[in-house]
Order: sequence, then structure tokens, then C-alpha cells
Amino acid sequence: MKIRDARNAAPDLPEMVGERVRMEVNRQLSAGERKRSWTPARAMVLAALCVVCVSAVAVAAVAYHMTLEQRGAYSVEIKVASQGETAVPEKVADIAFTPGYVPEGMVWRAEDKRIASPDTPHHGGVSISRMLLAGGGEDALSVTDKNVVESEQRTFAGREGVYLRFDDLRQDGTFNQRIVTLCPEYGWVVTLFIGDDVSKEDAIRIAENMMIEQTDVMIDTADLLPWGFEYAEAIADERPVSIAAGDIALHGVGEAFGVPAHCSNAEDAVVNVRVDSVQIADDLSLLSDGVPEDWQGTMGADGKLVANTLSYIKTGDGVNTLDTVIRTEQSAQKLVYVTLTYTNGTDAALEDVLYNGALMRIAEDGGRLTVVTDAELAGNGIDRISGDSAAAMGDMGYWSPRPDTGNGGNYIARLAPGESATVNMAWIVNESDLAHMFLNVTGGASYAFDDAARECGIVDLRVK
Amino acid sequence: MGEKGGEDVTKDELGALILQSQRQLYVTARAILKSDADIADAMQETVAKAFGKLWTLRNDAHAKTWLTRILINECYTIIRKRGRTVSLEAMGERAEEIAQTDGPQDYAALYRAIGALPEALRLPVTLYYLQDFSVREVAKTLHITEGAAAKRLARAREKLRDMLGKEISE
Repeated sequence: MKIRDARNAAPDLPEMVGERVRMEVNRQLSAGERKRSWTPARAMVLAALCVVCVSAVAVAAVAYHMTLEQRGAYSVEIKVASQGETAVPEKVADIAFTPGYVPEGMVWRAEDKRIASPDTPHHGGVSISRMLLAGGGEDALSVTDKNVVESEQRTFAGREGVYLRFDDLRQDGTFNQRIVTLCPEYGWVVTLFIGDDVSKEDAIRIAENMMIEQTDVMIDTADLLPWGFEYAEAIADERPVSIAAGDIALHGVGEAFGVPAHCSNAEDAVVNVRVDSVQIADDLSLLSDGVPEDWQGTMGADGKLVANTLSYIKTGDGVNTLDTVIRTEQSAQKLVYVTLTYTNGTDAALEDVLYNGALMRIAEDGGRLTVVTDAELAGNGIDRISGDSAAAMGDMGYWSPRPDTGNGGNYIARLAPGESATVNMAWIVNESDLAHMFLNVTGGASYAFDDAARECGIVDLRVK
Repeated sequence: MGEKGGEDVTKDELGALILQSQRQLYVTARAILKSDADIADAMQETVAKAFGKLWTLRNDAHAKTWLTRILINECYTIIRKRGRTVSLEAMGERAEEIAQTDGPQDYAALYRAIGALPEALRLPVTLYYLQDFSVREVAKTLHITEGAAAKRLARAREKLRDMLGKEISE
């Protein structure tokens, strides 16, 4: 019996229900009229909403006040204090944003609440978020920020708020400004995260012209984190970054091995993986499925990958000292294109098989393998290295195939018993990383030796 | 030309879409609410809200999931306001009744079995198998990941097999 056959038994639309729907559609389509009928059910829902709205109004009735205090040369604390404390309502109405001003060359993306260039919809621009305004009273809510080079307490169209600008060593679309405003009448704190491709004048104009409206979508406040919430300190990652070379299998190109098959129809299946080839290129012509958005702009006029300008940085504490660029240099970038074969060695079909490749930077010394950062490799007191192009280790930047079955598209739709599929993965890396590349295809991390990597092994891709 | 909402969908087009998909919406609402009176309220509210929020609908390719999501929210609003729940014991009894049914009643038994599934599984099954939603559309409608949607469908298939005591295929 097929599950889809159940639709043969699905009931017909009762005339009473159909009549109500038709009446409402006709009413909505009536020219110039937006009247709605008042049924007992609707009255009940409205009454319930009124109760919640009264609670929200009670929040607004308590006066909230935002202040800005200096905590070091480059550190500030934003505080939100109130004269009294109200119980947080069970539900709060969500708010919707409509920008009254969008900088030239940018567009408003309502679906993800961003203002951005159409060419780079997920970088730079302005991203808007809201957090619950809750609590108060004797304990003021507060958030402390570091690396702040400019700060200003002011109002934005009558709303109390602050403007912050953060230390930004290079213009690369990262968020280097923030505007935080109070929205107490609706029970929210609104934050605009602003990229370095937006001037301060435009950022303030966006904030001053942003329309905020309450919606009829009610959210359980139990599902929300309030502004000023202190996250518990991150639990230290216990996965080792250094192991004896003999404690992990190092596979070569052409060698097949088993890895967990993360698929939708089996819990503990294993799939066999083999790296067939590694190609190193100076351009992106191997990418048959198109250039990823993050790699736009990496090609020069000669069709080759542009050089990566690397800044070698000594980090400050963010309170009284800032990061300092010690030196800069140019590095060639290379495309690393890896072709793999995934084979189902089981006797059952595997569906939606997730594949993932994480490129690890590993130094081998004295019989030990150690995952290192580029700064650790550089040495000489350098704390971090920042590039202005796409080169990065870690998760694959390009992958194929991309069936329309799963988030991110990194799936093999189906592998019948004994069937194989070809997968291509690619990264753009700095030339110096070619001699330190290892590939983890277990779905795990690139920055530590996790359990799966130690159990299954990693692939040695080093180019000598 | 009708009054515009969003980028591509007019009010007239929305009205036509709603009237065309009344039965599908009704079947989806039946996965959550059991009373036709409640379903009528939910569907009427859905129509009103859909017209009011037309500006959030960007193109008609997404209208199905958009409309269904509004409907599901309205159904849950009614449940919360009226406290309608089904006890686990009642669900278990229904599952036993269903298992004893066979013959020409198979389709009805299968439909009732779907109705007896836990809600977290019932909705994805209704959307996927009875409304022809894709896994991605199910995930978007229910605000879950595609992996979670696929897992729930797999678990639902297992439960249906257990309930009906016979082989179930897609």
C-alpha cells in the first residue's frame, strides 16, 4: 500500500467550510473595503491578544534608559537601566522593519532583514537583529564591547541609542559599526550591524529612517534570549590538536577507506571514500558548476587568481591596546581541486548521503602531527595573519554534485548497493599551505583531531 | 490590473489560489484540528491574514508554503485558545482500531493511521504525501531543517508500518 493512496480517503471540503472561505475571499477582494467578519472565534482570539498586549504595554510603562560608559581606552559598556522591573510577558509581538532610506547601490532584502549590495547580498551592508528587552530594576542590563575606536550616545528618530565604530584593519565588508537602539514600547532592543562599506553618515541615516512596526506574530518569550544575556564561558575544546603520527591513519591518493555515511535512511552505515586526484591550478577553470559567491573577485584581468595581501598582526587586549600590523606581504593563491569517489559497500541503498571535506593545516615534526594556524607557522611573535582575498583552509569552498535535496546541496542523492559516485571539492589556499594540507572527509573539524578523524584517518594531500 | 502585493502576486491571484487550494488546506488543517467548526475559523483567519500579509509574498512559486504556514499557525492558535488536546491513551486506542481494519477500508485505515501519528510526524506526512510538498517545502513550512524533515518522514513510515501491520511504500 502506498502512503500517497491515503489521499483517496481524505475527506471532501465541507460546504460550511468552503462557504466561509469564499465569503472571506470575496470580502477581501471587495474594492476599497477591508472589512472582516466577526465570528465568536475571532472575538476570542482578539480578546486573548488584548491580554498579551496589556502585558507588553506594562513593559513600556516602565521607563528604560540607555547609557554609555568608557571602560578603557578602547572598551565601552552599554547599559540599559529602568526605574522598576516588570515580569516578562509570556508572549511578545514580533516587530517588522521597513527601511525609509537605503544607500545608493544597495537594496533591502526583507527575507533576511539586510541592506546590501546586490552583488554581495551576504557581505557588508547592514544586518538588523532584535533581542528581547526584559528584566531591569536594580540590576541594569549591560553589554561590554572591546576594540571600540569611536562611540557616541545619541537618539535615532527619538529612540535612545548608541553608535559604535570598531577597529578595522582593512576594508573587507566585515561589520565594523554597530547601532543599538531601545524599542521599549514593543519590548525589544534593536541592533544594526553595519559593514565597513557603509559610511557613518549613511548608517545613522538608515537608523533614523527605519520604520519599526508591531506584527500580529506572537513569540513565546521563553524561546528568546534577552539583550544583555551573559553567555556561559565556552567549554574548552577537548579534542587534541597534536597526536603521534602512529596514532592516526594517513591515507594516500588512490587509497579507499571507510567513513560514517550520514544519510537519511540508515543510522550506522559506512561509505567508502577514495581521493582519486588532486589538481593545483592558478585559475578557476576546473569549477564546472560555477564560481562560488565567496570567490567572486579572486580572478585578475589575466584570468589568474590574484595575489593575497597578508597582514601579520600582533593582537591588542581590546581594552587599552588595539591590534597592530607588524608587516604585510603578498602571497600567491592556488586552487586545490580534489576528485573523490564515494562507494556504497553495503547491501542496502543509501539516500541523501552527506559529503564534506575539511582541509587541515598540519605540521609534522619529531614523529608528531600538529594542527597549526598560519600565524603559528609564521612564528616571530605574530598572533594572527589576515588576508584580503579568499584563501582559507577548513570547509570546502566549492563542491559538486549539488542535488536539490538537502541544505547546502552537499549530498549524493542516492547510492544503490555497490554503486559509486564522483564528488569534487575545491579550496583556494595560500601557496605556503600546499606543503601542509591534509583532508578530513569524516564530516568533522579542520582544527583538531576529532574521534572520527582518528578512527578513519585523514588523507595526505601535501604538495612537496 | 489588480492591486499589487509583494513583487509578483496580485490580490486577485491570491484569491484564485486560495479558492483552488481550499481542499488541500482543509486536509492540512484536519491534521491538526478535528472539528470542522474550528477548521472553518482557522481557514477564514488564514484568508484574512494572507491578504493582510500579501506584501511578504515575493512570488507565486512560494505561495503554497507561505499559505500553509499561515494556516498551521492559525490552527495552533485555536488549539492554544481552546485547549484541545488528544490524550496519549486515546491515540493508542485509535492505533489499535486501525490495526484491526483491512479489506476495502484500507485507504480509510491508512488515512486514520496518519491521523493517529504524533503531531510532529503527522504534519510532515500530510504535507509530503497528501499535499505533494517536497522535503524542502516541508522544512520551510514547519521551520525545521531538511534533515529533520527527512528523518521525521522516515520515522513516520516506520510507525505506519507498525500500526497497520503491513508493508507500506511511498
